[in-house]
Amino acid sequence: MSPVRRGKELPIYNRLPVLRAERGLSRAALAAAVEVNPQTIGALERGDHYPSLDLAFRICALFDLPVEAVFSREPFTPLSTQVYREGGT
Amino acid sequence: MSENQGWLAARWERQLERFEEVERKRARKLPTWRTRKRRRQLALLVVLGNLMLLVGASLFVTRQGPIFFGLWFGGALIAGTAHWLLRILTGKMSGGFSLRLDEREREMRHRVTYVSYQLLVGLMMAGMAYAIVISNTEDAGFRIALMLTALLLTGTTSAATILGWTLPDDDPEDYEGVDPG
Repeated sequence: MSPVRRGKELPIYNRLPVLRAERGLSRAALAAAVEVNPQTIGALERGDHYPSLDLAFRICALFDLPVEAVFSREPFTPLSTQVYREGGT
Repeated sequence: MSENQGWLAARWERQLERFEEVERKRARKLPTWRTRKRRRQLALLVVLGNLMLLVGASLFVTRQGPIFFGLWFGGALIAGTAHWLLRILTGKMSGGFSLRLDEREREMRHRVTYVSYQLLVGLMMAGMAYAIVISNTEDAGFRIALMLTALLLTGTTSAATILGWTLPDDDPEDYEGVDPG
């Protein structure tokens, strides 16, 4: 039985590790803030679990970012590349 | 909400808090065993114990020898101990209230319990077929009871066994900053 995830053809990538690192948040702290267990944050970061819309909105609200800044169908380019080489678009 | 309902809700909330506390403590037990390899070893032990129970039940005859007792009580001890350890190592997903699970845990549990429910139905059907086949033999009632007990134990332990087999290694980063309490 595979981990809880759907859509091998349409994966959901996220920027959780880098957003956590920027704000100095542990998985446990982020998990407590969005009311899930730390293992679920780990599973999201590893791509073993795709979040419900509700959880995605809660995470985005915590980081005060739009959904497309945190989750994407395409792999994210590194934030430093995006900020310094592409003018932060 | 009436006074009685309020008292019940408060009591239920206290029970959930108590359960949460037990689970928090359990989550830090046996830290070196929280690997897929160790969980799979325990899952195999549960299967072995259940097989011993099933073989013991099928070998039961009126004059008992040490083989039946060895298989039955040995199987119960092996399956019981391994299942108890698996319940600790698989956490809330195998033993907790759904109310306290998050979306990933709830979905995982639904999948596991669905599979184990199907397995239990199949085992009970096999038990009924066994009962029909041996119904005219000596001590049929006792043999059927033994077999149904073994099949029921096999079915009810299957959820934790499947979970133990499928869960990945625990990631130490998940526990960073968590009070070991």
